Amino acid sequence: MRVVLAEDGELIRAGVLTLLSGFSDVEVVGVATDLPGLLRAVEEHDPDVVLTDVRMPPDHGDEGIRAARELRRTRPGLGVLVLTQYADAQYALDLIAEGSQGRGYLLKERVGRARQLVDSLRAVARGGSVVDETVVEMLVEAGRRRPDSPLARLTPRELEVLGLVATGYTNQAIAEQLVVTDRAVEKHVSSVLNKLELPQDSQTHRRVAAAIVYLSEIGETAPPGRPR
Amino acid sequence: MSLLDPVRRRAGVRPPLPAVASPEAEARARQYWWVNAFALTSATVALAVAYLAGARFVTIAQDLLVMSLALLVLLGSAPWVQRHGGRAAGASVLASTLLFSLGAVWVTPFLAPLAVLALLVPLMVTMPLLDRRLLVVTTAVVLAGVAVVSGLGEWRRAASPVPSSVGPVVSLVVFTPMVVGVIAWVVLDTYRRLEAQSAELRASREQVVRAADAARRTLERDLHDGAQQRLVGLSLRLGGMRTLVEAGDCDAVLRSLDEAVEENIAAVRELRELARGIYPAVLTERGLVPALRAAALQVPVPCGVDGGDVPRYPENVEAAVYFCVLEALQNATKHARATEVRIEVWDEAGPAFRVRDDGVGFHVDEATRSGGGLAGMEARIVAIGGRWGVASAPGEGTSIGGVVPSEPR
Repeated sequence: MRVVLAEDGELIRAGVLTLLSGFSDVEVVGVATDLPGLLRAVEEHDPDVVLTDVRMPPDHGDEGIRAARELRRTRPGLGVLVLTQYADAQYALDLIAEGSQGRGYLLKERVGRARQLVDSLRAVARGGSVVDETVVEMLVEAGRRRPDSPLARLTPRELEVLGLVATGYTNQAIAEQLVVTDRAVEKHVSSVLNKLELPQDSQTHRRVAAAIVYLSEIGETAPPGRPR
Repeated sequence: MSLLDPVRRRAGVRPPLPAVASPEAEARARQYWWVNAFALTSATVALAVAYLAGARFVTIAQDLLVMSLALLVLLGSAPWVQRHGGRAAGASVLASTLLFSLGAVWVTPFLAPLAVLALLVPLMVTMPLLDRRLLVVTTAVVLAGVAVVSGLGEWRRAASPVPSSVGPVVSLVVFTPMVVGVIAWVVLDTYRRLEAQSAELRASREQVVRAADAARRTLERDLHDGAQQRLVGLSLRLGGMRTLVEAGDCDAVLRSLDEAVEENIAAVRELRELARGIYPAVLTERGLVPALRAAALQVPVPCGVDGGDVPRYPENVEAAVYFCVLEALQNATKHARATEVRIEVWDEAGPAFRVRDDGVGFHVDEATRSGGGLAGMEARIVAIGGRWGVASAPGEGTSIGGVVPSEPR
């Protein structure tokens, strides 16, 4: 797997490089420290996946998200995993707004768990989607607080499954995580999607997009008119 | 109170916020009308007395006629002023002053400078009540009046040189105190108002400084008890690992490493929450509504955000509204024990917002007097030229709203 890394912080850049060097199937082919540099490196090296910071020069704003949007147009097949300090659902939603295929949103502290970082890179490079569990947890929690929350219709197990689906787990990965059979997971997933009236989609990345958008919408829209 | 009206979302009608023009400016314009009525009446009576007492000059008779007409216009519009308030008061006084200026200058041309002064006053007093269009119209009327009165004075002085006579002098003696009296009232009133405003500003500046200090203390405490503790713990653990490596206990080292990573993740998480509390990046990057949506996710009770197409405003405006809403959310969940909160944001020539909860409510007067959160919110919004209001009563829930006039970025 050929990776282009974009990160302006020297310490983190060096750390990530060291970390990735421990995996024989991961090769960092280009390193950039700002948005134009990232786009150039992608042109030059034609990687399988981009690992990028959100906030970089020139504007120290949301360059990583902008890069992902730009690359969606120029290189639809390229995976982009965004590493961020911000646990804001808004950025994740922006990232998947024009399609969730091959897009990932991971909090920076996950670099501490090398395996998780590399697994996410692989998933995104394959066209899957990853959304950080903290973001998903936040959305699920907010959604559950609604008095007539549709999430109340889910069993605790199904809620857990929903979280994993939104995070980007495949059915197989969910089965491993929960130590149940693939068939059991399929049943859970289809029951969750049914109860929430979400489309039954076997494509993991589309499931992620549907779940995240759904969760962010129910979380922020309390039923009208209750408080006077 | 209006803030408690149910939201008529479907019709797109927003409940009224505190009235657009300040009640002070409104009251001032009405007072000004009364001051004018009093001055004009006394001057007319004084001139009439002088005439009856034997100063039977033609110019005095003509001036009397002019003043009576002006008085008639002023008093005649009294019911209309009663009904329509400050702007009507301004229009009524302006019409009467125009009539008086033109007539009096026709009769006694050397009153022109006094008449010009008198014409400028209605504009000064009603200015805060006028929107842009009305301001342009009123200014145009006043300027035209000033030009005509000056020209008329010059022309009349040249056309019919007034022989030195007692009549015009009597008029002058009567008119001067009238005009000077009105102007003196306006100046004194403005002075008093500015005094009051500067006292308010001093108080709100102190409030801002106090709030900033309190925020620093909280920040220090949070850092000390949170991330700092974890990082110290991490150092200890790393030290311990050294011992484990020396002892050759590989399993224990691996366990310890995993724990160190988790510890570190927790420290990063705490720092992130702190950084967000200081100034959320999503506010800078995405604006008010996305930032409030993100904040709503953290509220421990259901919290909906209604925010349609709200444009981006200058940074200080967005920050003031954001932190004011945050403070209102804190009040709702910490003190009011609300079970549900609703945030509304819309554009009303600047960001307008409202936070409603179904909590225990409070007596607004008592809470405002005791300062604290409410005063802080008000200071924040007022400091950037906005208006802020709160409506609450025990058992009724609370509604906090405001609007900050501002051009989009």
